[in-house]
Amino acid sequence: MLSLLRLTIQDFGPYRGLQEMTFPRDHGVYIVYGPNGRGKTTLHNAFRYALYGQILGRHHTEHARELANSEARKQAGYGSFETTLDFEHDGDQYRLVRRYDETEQPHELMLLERNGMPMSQDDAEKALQAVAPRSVSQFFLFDGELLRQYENLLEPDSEEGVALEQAIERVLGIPIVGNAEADVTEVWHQAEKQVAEQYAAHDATRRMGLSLNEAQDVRQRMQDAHDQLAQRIDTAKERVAELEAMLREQHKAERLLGSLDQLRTQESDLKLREQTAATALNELMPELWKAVLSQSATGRLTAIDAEVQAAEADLRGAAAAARDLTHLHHQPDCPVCHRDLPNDLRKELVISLETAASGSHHEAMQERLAHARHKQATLQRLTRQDARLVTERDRALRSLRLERQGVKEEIASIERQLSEIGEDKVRSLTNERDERQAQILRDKERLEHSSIELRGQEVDIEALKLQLSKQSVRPDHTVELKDQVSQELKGLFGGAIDAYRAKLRRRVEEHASAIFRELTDEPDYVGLRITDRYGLEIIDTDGETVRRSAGYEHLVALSLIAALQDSAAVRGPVVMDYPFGRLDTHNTARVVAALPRMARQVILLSFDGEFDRQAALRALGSNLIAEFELERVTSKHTRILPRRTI
Amino acid sequence: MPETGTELADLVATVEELRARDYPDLDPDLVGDILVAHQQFAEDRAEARKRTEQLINRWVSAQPAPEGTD
Repeated sequence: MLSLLRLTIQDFGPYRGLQEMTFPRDHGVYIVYGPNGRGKTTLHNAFRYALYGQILGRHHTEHARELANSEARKQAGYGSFETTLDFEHDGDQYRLVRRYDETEQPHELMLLERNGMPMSQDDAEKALQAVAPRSVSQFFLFDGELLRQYENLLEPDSEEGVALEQAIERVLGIPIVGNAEADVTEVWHQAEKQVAEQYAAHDATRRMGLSLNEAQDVRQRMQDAHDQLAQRIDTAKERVAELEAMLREQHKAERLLGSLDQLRTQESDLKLREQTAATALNELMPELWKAVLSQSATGRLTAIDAEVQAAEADLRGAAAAARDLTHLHHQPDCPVCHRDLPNDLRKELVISLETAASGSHHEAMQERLAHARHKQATLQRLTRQDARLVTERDRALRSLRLERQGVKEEIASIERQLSEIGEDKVRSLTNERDERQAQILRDKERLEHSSIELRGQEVDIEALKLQLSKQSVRPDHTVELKDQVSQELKGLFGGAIDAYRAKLRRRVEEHASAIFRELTDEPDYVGLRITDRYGLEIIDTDGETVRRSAGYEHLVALSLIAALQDSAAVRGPVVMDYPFGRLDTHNTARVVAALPRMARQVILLSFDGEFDRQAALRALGSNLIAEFELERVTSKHTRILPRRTI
Repeated sequence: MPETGTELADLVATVEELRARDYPDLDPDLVGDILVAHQQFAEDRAEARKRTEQLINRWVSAQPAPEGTD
């Protein structure tokens, strides 16, 4: 079983420079959060490229040059990128390096080390085919949007369903027996041929030996034509599946259009908010100089406040002096304690109060107070101009501009994707699909006819062999033994295919049902029933097939993938992009909780808000090994950051 | 039967069940070795084919000649 240890990427798409993700445990869930347009699909492709040297676009396989980081290309003058995947398989440690480089002319290279020892190119290719066969990559690296293809397994006439069925059989290992049967059959035919030649070498059996030889040659030619026809049908079916996948992109286009409308509304709302924020900031601009002076004005205001208080106190003193002087002129007692005053003391008091109570002194005090109050009012106006307000409004404006820029980039990305799906293209895809399907039908009829002829020829050969076995001439022992053992092996493997297929089908049904019950909270849905083509139908408590919704279709597809992982002849990590597309919040939460059952290592590419993170943390518990996030540096530069490692 | 990884064990067990019932004279090791080769070279048909023939030839050569022959 393949377990990932580390993925290192350099200048791959928006992942500028050297960046890595480590997978410290060989089982558990890893989640990568990144908003739209930040590079989740590119990261998905980084895994694909690292393992298979292949990049899948939205609609087709892309050339490597499209994934070289553009900033790095501008700086270096040429594009290049590298992926390094460290992984373990059956106790051996591997390091797989793939590099794309345009230094002289565009070229790609691959290096594989096993336990620190570099492998030859040929051995490396063979090792990779055993560890991670490309033909079953769809069960390890999948785009949730493409889960709709699993519905085709229930459509009897869908070529895409046939292609998927073949892929399922490949991942389950059924072709291992089928190929073994084909190869031992070839060995058997060779041994038979040698037996015929030996009979032909003896006078007593010459004529019959030659007839057998001739009959075998005819059978070989018929077999070659039959294989060629079967191969042509397979190729046509693969092409039809490819065409149907491209046509399905139309549904994706509809979804993209929905997102585009939403983003445009969001962008227009942000534009309005940005304008309002800019107006609010501009309102502060004419008075901005006051804000600049406000700090020094605050310091000076303290002194002026003290001066105003002093002037007020002095004015109150002058008023009191005038009141006391009047009292002394008209009353015999003291103006403060109201006791009798001796005349000499009265005169002394009058003299001392006359200056303070004079009109000129009072006026001077009033003038001083008025002056101080005027300065106080001016400084108070200045200090009210708070610079923090300017900063706050400026920050709000910048944040809105940044948010709007992000939305604009998303809009541009979706528009690019939509531009790739043209109406003419759809028409030509549909025409080609129809032509290929007609060709498949014709070839299938010819194949059936060819099979009947082949069986007839086999009967003739067996009859000749039976006659020869009654003769006294015996062929060489080893040749006869090879003939006999390879014939028995052919019979064994031929019979084992159906037995193994039936066994796997039962097991897939059981496992998929168990997982499905975990994913749904509908008590009436008791399980899934597998069809001949690995399609899964929902069964209710009455044992009847349930007509399912789009959301349930998605849950069934996820259940099937998990069950296949469990029974597969090739096992490894699952990297999921957009796996919750058609699910509501409730079902999404249930799928997140069931992720540890999907595969031993699950890498989920998601975005904040796609599911309730706190609930996911609780549900996954110690099965959640690490979280990463994709941080925007520029529109062409994204950084992978660890969010949390447990 | 040869040692096989968990991924192939079930397939080998199914084939062995049939072999024991329908082809008791067939060598189970030969059957298992052929299946392992096909798993190992699932994506390289030519190599799998070559190894299958080698395994059968080796097995045939290892069998004692019947009495009365050289």
